[in-house]
Amino acid sequence: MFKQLAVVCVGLVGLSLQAKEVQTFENEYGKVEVPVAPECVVSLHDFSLTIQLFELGVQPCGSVARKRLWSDPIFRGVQHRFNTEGLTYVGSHKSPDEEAIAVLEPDLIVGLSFQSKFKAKLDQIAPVVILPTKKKTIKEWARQLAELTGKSDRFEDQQKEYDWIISEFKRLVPEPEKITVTTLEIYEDNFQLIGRGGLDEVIADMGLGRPQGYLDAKQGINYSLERISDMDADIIIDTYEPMLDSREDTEDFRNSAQWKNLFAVKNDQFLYLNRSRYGDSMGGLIGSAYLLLSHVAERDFKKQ
Amino acid sequence: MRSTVETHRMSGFPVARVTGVVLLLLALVIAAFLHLSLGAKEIDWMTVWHALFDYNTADMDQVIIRESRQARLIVSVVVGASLALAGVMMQAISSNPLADPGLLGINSGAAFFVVASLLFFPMFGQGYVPVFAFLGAAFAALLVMMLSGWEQGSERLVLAGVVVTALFSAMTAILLLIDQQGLEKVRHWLTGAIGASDLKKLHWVYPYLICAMVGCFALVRSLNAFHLGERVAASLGVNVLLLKVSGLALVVVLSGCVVTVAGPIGFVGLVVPHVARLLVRNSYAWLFIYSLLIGTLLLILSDIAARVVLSPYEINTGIITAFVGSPVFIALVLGRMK
Repeated sequence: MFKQLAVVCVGLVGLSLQAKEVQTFENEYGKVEVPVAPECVVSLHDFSLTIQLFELGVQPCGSVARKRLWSDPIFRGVQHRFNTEGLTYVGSHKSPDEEAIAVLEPDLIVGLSFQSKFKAKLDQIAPVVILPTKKKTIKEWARQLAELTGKSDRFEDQQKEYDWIISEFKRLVPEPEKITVTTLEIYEDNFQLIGRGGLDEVIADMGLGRPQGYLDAKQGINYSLERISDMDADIIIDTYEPMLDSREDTEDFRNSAQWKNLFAVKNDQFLYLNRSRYGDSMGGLIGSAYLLLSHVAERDFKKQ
Repeated sequence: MRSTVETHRMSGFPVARVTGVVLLLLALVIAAFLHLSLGAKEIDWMTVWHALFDYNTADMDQVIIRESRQARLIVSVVVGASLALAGVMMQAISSNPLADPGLLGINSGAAFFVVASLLFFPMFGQGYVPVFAFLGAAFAALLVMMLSGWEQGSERLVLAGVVVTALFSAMTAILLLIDQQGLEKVRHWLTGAIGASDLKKLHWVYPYLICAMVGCFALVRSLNAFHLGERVAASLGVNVLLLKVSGLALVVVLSGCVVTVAGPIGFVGLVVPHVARLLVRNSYAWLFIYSLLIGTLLLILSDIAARVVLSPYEINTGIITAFVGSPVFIALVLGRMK
């Protein structure tokens, strides 16, 4: 009786293995054996990978999220665009919850460049693919993700729409390099040069210029607010994060003469956008590109 | 006792001490000008002068001085003075040269209560932050006093302080861990951030600060007597218990105010009284005045260093004061061991 049961079990396991067709995926982080059509994908970053998966038409089974004490997890940039029912919270992107991931029995885990340190442990649960988000553009790693999940057709549609916006922008703005744009995030006592939601990538693709202060400065450094005038440009784009009350926290600075004296602010060429409206995804690129198309190419504005 | 009093009376006008105060004030003015001219953006002294006495709102450099650096300077002055007075008072009432609101867990207690209030009672506005800071500082102070016992030997007091500091630091770390997203911006404040402060925060606490500073000077006579020993002080009519309790209350208020304004900044209260004692010894009135000026000077210089040492990075002022204070603390401990 036991022998017969064992044979049946082995047979079933064999069948299920056979059903999961595998392929070899290779990128900068090496080769990984992954299922051709993954059924349960876990994303280790909500603001980029989870969004891009949804945009490709793949509903991940688990994702990291932002969690505050006594509140439901927030899948940043995801839940205002997609139905997140059935999406399980699996910790934060800085420390994913291995047990929560294992419970889901995923057949694929995807992470960002800085999460390659989690690969060795998570590999024991399911194949882990790290995407080169640090060295490659959103377009490049999103293409890899599309290939990985078998959704290249959807990706090509996104790429086509994005390319059209860029070409339309270049048609309407013949010398984009003469228009300077600064993307930054202002905090309570400092600021960083950063354009989330693909903004910096869009600005580069459109060929827009940057002010000298921006070119001389470095990304990822918290600069004193005293340096804000060095970053003055034709257009300044800042973002606010509703989750962190950043709009309220920085209001005093935006009421200061230091801020009001900036060229972009004086001429109503300051854009203040929701930081989580667009994620680092193809949809983010498209959304940010439409925003810039409207604010730069489809309206009059002054140059410094 | 009589000989000491006579010596004071005979000394007449204290020329040397007044000269010292004038020199310190001069150093303070120079440091203040340096504070206003140095920073992320270099601004020449003439622009600083114009910003202060002939302000032109169209000049961006003058705007930076008036809107940003001036406020930061005022916060540095108030924080430095408060911490120095708290340090003198703490060392006086505990008769312990190693006593400091930072080392004895008072700052950590205040910081923990503030962080906990932000997490558990977000419905209270930011105006309640000083209240929670005072409660935390008071609770930590009482805890240290209980742990160190009535006699309060130096070693036992410091050990109790270390334990309480570790306890509150660990509890704060737990809170930060369980609500990483919500308390992200508190991390910066927890290492003593003058840059993250502003006049609005100072506005919340200035009535308490003024009362506490005046209170320190009001206790000068009793402290002078207490300095001669508890029995002598009692024989001179000083209520020693009341002195200790009111001194501790003043330390709690001063430390709570500082934590509210700029986060826990350590070692100023330890270092400054020792430097001041090199210049004045016998009178707490002079010790308070000298400490107040030296504390202010130390904080202004530390804040300048915080902004220029690793430019364009800006480090927290509390980190600089820790760099300055740690060797002094080690030297004091080694001195006592010898």
